[in-house]
Amino acid sequence: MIYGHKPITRRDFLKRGAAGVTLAGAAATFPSIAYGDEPARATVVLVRDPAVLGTDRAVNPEAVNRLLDMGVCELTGKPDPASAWAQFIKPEDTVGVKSNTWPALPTPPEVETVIVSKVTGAGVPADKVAVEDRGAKANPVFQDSTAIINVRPMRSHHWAGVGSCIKNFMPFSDDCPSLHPNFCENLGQLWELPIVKGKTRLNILVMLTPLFHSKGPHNFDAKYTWDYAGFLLGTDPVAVDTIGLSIIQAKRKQVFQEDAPLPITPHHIRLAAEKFHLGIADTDRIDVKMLGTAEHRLI
Amino acid sequence: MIVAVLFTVGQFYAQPGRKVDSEIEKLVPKDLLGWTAPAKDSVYSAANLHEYIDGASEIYRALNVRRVVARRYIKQGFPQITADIFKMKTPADAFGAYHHDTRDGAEVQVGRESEFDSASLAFWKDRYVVYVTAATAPEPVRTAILTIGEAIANAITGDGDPPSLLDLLPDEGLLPGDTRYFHNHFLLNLYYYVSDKNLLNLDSDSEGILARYKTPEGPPMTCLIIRYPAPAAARAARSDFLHAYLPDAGPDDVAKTENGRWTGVRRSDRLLCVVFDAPAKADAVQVMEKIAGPGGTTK
Repeated sequence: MIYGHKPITRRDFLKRGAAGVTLAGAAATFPSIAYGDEPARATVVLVRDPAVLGTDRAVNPEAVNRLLDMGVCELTGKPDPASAWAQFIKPEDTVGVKSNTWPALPTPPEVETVIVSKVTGAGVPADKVAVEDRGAKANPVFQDSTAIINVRPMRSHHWAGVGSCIKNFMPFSDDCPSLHPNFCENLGQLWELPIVKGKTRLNILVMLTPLFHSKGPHNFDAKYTWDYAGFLLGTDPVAVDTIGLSIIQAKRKQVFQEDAPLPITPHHIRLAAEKFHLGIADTDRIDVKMLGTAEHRLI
Repeated sequence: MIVAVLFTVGQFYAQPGRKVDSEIEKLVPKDLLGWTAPAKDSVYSAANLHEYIDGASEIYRALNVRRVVARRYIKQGFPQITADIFKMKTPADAFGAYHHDTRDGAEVQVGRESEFDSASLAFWKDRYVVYVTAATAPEPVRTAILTIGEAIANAITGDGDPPSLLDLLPDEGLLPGDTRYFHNHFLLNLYYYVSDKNLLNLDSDSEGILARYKTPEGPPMTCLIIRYPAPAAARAARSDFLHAYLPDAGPDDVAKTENGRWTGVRRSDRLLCVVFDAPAKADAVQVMEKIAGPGGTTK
């Protein structure tokens, strides 16, 4: 048999010292290699407060507002929220807020509302901002957009390993199934589509009630979610996803009482760095700034 | 009363000789225990299943899904119950889809095998794998889920057999609820990462099972049994696997891998047995000989 390149086998991973690998290679745990012109380091901000979740997990808009302001201030180094948001959005921008409407765990409307208020607060007219998920590609605001804010919840996923910031651009594809092979390894390619390329100013991974385990065709069972009450923010989607993934893995280990990697390694995150040079997946090169509640932070 | 309803539904739909309707949903009542399904059922094929369950569709496509019916039952004041009926090509494929998820919930005696976990009933029977799910399942929702599941199971007149390869698995040390079924190497890699290339020459004409065995310490031992269409295909697969994965194997086709464990391969007619992570060489050989029998060969 002739292969296009020498096969990469489980034994290659074992040689690289990952003796604890039990499933699917857990390739995302291996050091990333070969970056192009990406910055040397990335910064991700984690901000948490239990007050963001009320009775029956009702989302507290005031707390969302406060946490996102804290997050962008930390991320930009600006002293106040207005000047921090102004680093991301200019009055002349046309802004698409790429949300996620997966019924079981959507981007909370309260979060969308706060983000839109920040965009308009930065001087963008209301008719120049739109919130969309599956209809984003056809939305005139997205088509004319100069800036995108990418916001969605973190969740485990049956085929991609996790659904997080990188995967959130799936609706921009004309052929979603073409991105499914080999566990969605080429999701980073989405970010090269003209409608989004170079436009994403901020990624917000909603970590309010993340899903850490998938079961059944719909992937969702509320018993595999927990109240984490936080957000991850960053300009680098790979770095944000990498930190989100580490939290999910830590939660799995805590719940399953063993080293229980996701059944599917979300290698699209690592490959987004190595193959598409979208950002940084090497945790040694990601600075995580942590604000708010430290209890049960898992990182 | 609930028992009576179950009995009545079961009696009606389990009549011997009753012709099986290809559209099985027509045999399932749309009104059960006050839950009704007023909306038209949603029907999907392998080609458009991703529109319903996104990337998870790839798992069912890899197991030859033919048709999916989604029905939503509603009742004022209670959570919606969704019944998803997946028709696969063979009972073995239905078994594989059911066992894609680790089954550690309660057996509830619906279909050939079933599990009630949290707020979801899953079972397989004949060529069907079925999920009946609600967001939460306090009584009487739990009873309604079971009743709907029973009605579907009773509409399926055949039983179907699990993969015959299961009969070859040694019982001693077998970890329950962790046996998988697959055709292609993508699904195999999901359960146990072997290589990015298809070293075992798997395709839609091959079928395999993966089982795990308890070891005295450390990770479990993994055992694959693959049946090829013809002995020549099994012979070629053995050769390719040895060349790419076990170039350091001795004449017995067993080698010590980088994690200090043992991996080996053995062929018998059109069967191939591969053991990964055996604690000792003798363990690998013993399992392979049990499976491949006295006719097993290293040729």
